[in-house]
Amino acid sequence: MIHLTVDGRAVEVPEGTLILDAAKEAGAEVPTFCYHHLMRPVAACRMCLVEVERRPKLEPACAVTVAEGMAVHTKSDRVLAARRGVLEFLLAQHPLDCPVCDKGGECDLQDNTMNHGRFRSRYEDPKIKKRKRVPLSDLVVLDEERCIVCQRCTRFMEEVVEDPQLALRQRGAYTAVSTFPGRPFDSLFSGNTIEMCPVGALTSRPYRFRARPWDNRTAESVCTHCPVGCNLAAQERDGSMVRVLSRENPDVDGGWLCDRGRFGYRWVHHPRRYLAPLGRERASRRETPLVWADALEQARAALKAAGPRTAVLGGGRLTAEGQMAARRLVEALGTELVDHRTGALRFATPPGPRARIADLDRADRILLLGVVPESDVPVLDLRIKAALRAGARLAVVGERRTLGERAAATALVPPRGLGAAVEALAEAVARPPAAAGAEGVEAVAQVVAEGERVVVLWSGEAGGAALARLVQALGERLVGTLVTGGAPSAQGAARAGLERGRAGEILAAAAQGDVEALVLLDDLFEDAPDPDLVRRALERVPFVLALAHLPTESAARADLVLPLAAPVEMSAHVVNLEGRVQPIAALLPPPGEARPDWEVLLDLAGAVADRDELVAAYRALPEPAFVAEEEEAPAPPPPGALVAVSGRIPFDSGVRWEEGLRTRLPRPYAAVHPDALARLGLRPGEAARLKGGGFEGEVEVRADDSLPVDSVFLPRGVIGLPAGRLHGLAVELEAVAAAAAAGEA
Amino acid sequence: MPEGGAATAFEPVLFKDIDTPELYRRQVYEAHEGYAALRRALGGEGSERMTPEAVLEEVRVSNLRGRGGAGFPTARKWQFLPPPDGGPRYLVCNADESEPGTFKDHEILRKNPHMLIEGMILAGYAMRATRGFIYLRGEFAQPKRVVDAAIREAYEAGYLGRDILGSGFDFDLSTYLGAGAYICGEETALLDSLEGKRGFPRLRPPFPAVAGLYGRPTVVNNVETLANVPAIVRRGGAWFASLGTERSGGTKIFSISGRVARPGNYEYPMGTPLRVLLYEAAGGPLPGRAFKAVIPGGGSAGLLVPSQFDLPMDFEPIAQAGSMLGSAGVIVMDDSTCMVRAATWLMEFYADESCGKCTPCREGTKWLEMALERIETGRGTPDDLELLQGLPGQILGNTFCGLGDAAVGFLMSAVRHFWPEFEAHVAEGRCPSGGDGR
Amino acid sequence: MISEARRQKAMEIIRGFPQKSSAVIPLLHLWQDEEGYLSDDAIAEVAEIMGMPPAEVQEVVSFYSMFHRRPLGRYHIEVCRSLSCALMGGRDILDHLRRRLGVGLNEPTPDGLFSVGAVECLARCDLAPVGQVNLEYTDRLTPEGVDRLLADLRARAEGGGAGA
Repeated sequence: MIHLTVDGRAVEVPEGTLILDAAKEAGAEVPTFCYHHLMRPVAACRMCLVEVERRPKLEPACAVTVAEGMAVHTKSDRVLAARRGVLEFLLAQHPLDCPVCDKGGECDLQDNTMNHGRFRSRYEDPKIKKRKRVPLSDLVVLDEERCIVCQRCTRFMEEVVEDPQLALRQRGAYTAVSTFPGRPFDSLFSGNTIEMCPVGALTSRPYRFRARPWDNRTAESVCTHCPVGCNLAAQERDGSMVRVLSRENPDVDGGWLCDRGRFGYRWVHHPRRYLAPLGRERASRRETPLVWADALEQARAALKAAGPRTAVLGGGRLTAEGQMAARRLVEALGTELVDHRTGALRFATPPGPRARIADLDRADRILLLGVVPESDVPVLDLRIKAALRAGARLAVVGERRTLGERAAATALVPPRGLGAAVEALAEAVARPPAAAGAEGVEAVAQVVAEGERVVVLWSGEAGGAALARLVQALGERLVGTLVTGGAPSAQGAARAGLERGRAGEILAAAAQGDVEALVLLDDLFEDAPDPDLVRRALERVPFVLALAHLPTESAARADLVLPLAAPVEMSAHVVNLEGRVQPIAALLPPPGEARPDWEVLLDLAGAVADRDELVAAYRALPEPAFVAEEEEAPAPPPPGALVAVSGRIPFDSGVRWEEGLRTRLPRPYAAVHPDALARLGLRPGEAARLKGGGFEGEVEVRADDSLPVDSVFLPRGVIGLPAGRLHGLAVELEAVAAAAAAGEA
Repeated sequence: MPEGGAATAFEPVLFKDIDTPELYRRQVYEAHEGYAALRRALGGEGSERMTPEAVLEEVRVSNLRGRGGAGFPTARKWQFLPPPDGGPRYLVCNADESEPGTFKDHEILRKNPHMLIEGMILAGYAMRATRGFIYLRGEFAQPKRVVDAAIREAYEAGYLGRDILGSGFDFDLSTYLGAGAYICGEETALLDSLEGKRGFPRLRPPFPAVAGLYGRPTVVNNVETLANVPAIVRRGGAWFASLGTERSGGTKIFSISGRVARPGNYEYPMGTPLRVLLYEAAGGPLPGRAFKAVIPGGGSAGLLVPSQFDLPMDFEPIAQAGSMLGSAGVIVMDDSTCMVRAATWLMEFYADESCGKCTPCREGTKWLEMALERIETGRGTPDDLELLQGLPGQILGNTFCGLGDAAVGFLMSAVRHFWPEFEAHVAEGRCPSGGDGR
Repeated sequence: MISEARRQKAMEIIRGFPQKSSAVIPLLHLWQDEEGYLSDDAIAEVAEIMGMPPAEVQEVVSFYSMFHRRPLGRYHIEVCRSLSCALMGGRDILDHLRRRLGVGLNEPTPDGLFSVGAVECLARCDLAPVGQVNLEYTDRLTPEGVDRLLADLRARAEGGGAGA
């Protein structure tokens, strides 16, 4: 420990502590601009200058570490004069347009000026004109005149995202933040720069001019767009959600949000939200609003009649309370026709120990099995990059390359080849190390086998039994596994036991008339492996009940719809991919008569419980056990064929409910390797016909060099593109013009 | 030796043969003791081969101090390097000569590039560097051609490359051309630039000796500093030390420009009085003119007035007089010079060249430039005068690198010595000197 | 499209450095030397060869005063405006040149033949006022000398069309 005094007060701090933090310890707040606790110091703004005895110059508290016996002064005349000087300089060229600036009220420049720089500016010259209202993207707008060149945004993009889309332009007093002409600031993490900008230089377009911070009410919530469960502060004004900010949780999100999470909050105000229970007559499709009592009575009667022939599908988007209530319903019905894994997820529970997100920070090897972090668990992409910078090595097995040259070894597998590759990997790891210069799985095995602290991220879509063998081979060297697949709270659904059967088999049975009632806890179409099967099942089952927020394709086909409250409309808990149970607080009342999921499910079960009981019961459940299950080996595609592979994308058709993200609405597309593009005579951006597996439709062609040359990537969750069904099948792709010509001939 | 050095007797080091025709050619340089030091130290010619430690020891004894401006003892800078770890170590020559009024390195590069190359090989040997770069400012396209040709010749002669003169020492050297930025003379900004970035000075620690170019141990030395090394090795550190003062060994090239009869580069011993430089070397004022003020160390130094002309030109005495020896670029102003205008021109330079990283320099130089321009053109107000008194103090000592202090050095000294001139500009709305426009 | 010859030169430059990043400024010099200035396309090309985001290459370009984002005259005449030259009349020369050619700084004459730039200390202060024509030094500038220089350059351009 290092001993020093700050303003005469003795403090003891660990070696390597910044003067800034030592001062905080001593109760002395040192103002800053450029310093950001999640990035390396740059000491550029000079706001944090303090006096250190026996040093001739003032020192930047954000960049100088403490030394034994140091005497620091944060309030001496010299320090106060320097602070006033820095503020006077910063304000000299600043437009002082606080009345029309979104940052007003939460601006470091305002705050520091009020606290440390009350004076009349002596600056009277005309100010340097710079660009104002520059739209860097559909989400971020730049005002160069307000920028104080703290470089937080450019450093974030360079140091944390490792994708420097923002850079400085010019020098001296003309320095400004900039993108390259014609290139948008389209990073998935762009919104973080808005939040870290200490002034109003980078502001949010969706939030623009909507509120003042003091008008906003905040609730602590958790993002439910993906399994990471980033902690966020949801804000509303006058009953309307206006924005989402990070509520840094070092163990989960590390202080960052992705743009899907940050800007995906307007769906709760969508005009088509279900506000009351709704009955639907199948033949006429006529919809009738119902009162809750009648709706519940009708539902209970139908479910009671169906009993064990009731299927319950979905549940990976419920609260932990809702998942427990669903368990009660399943128990009451005595049905085994239950599964939350309605998409590509096969194994929600990993063999062997589970990992925590924070284990990534201490890992020396990170193994990705079928996971593309940026798409599947975006914020973990940043965490993995940080771990790699700290010395961890990355090994990748997957149908697509990910994290580029950062991977020490990559085994690119054909579509549906993950299971076989993991099998080979387990064997290779168990064997003595291969000779140098190994490739593919052997190279991955080499990287992994040298590890002492291996963390595995697994899609959970294939290779369960093989992974169990790999886990055994790694033994003590494995820290644990995180399963990234499935719905955001798939881990909660698994723990609550909402996986008694197989969704595919249940749907097949339903399509054959063996199911009498179907309770839909999710939209089945969103990433259904076989949308046709879902359609047939929904048509055949006599009574379909949907619990829903919005008229999804599933809910729009139900006989009875019960409206649910959104996560920001209830106080409850949600479960992330670690199995972490995180509380969420109600920010808004549910619209109309919508109700929290657990209330509705308890009513359906005819059970009574309060929220605390449900959470306690959830916590008391044992960890679900891994079930090794035989997977059928995929049929090898015809040689030379183009085979489809599917995967998540951050902005899927879910954004159709988000007014702030309309420009991100995906159109069906197919990505292939540039070499394959050339071979097919296609150009990026062009329209093409995609054919295969009984599907035929038009897609936009994109180039993607992360793919093997004989794969076609199809995004999941895009309406009009059955990516899940085509996954692993041979497909054809040809230019629309060529197809038309062929048609005429 | 250029004209004018007759009266002060001493042995020149750097300019000993500077006006020899085609000295930039290897054979000519070799005919004037060129590469003798290298052949002796690395080749063992005429005596035993010197160890790297022995070369470093000579430099330590020589009292050679950095000629780029800071005057840091050269051997000590080399000693900061950690012990070799098998990885690359770099020696970078700072040939970004951009300090206003400084043109000594240009002459060495143009006329005697081999002296620098020999110095770099010896220095590289002493510090066990593996690779050298000569960072030339972007405007030095002409000198670059000369240096590149000399490097080729040195490779051909086996002075560069693998196993130099059988010593087992490998050293590669190449030039690098900047692209126009004064800040790149600051050694860490230079390293950023050499790595392909904007030239922003770096946070220290880590110092370049520990983590410099590409994060590897690196020493950055000025052209003139390195050019002294061959003579030190050839004649011995003690000899070199004896040429200068107690604390600064050797001679110094003084670049004298501005309002003098014979501007030029003049080599004199460290500690030579300014008066000798101005009169004996540079021939005194222009006909009919009288000296008014002199900047002794490039645009970043405060000015000295005629009553201070007997000061010895060495690091400490000039610093004690409130200025600095810096690059020893001596800029002379005479009774035709308007000090307000001179201050405006210099501030314009610093505002132009501020890299923009830190607040006081980025904003302060621009603001001062605007205030000075108003005063100089007769539009100034008493408030502007107040700015000249106040703003420099908000910059001095508070900036990220030395450029902030440099930017206000001249202005603060001009305000101290010539305040009535500033006041008169505001009171009369024009330049009271009615000078000849300069 | 990058010509094969230039790509070869670029690769050779890149190979000359222990780390690739160092090549960006030399490559920008190469592009500017051959094209006269750095267009968006040029920056995108250098970015592609370097494997850098274009925004970062632009950052480098915009920081250094010798990189130009717009075409200059065929003869770009720069005059030093720093103190030593200014004391000897450098700024008068600059004004004289601009009056003669009727152009602003770094703005080519309508015939594209000349442009004028102001530069900081060129480290030849003993020969003040100093300038450069396409980076070749010219010194002890006087208004009459500058007029002669313009005439010579014009004659050279009309004559064989050889560069400076």
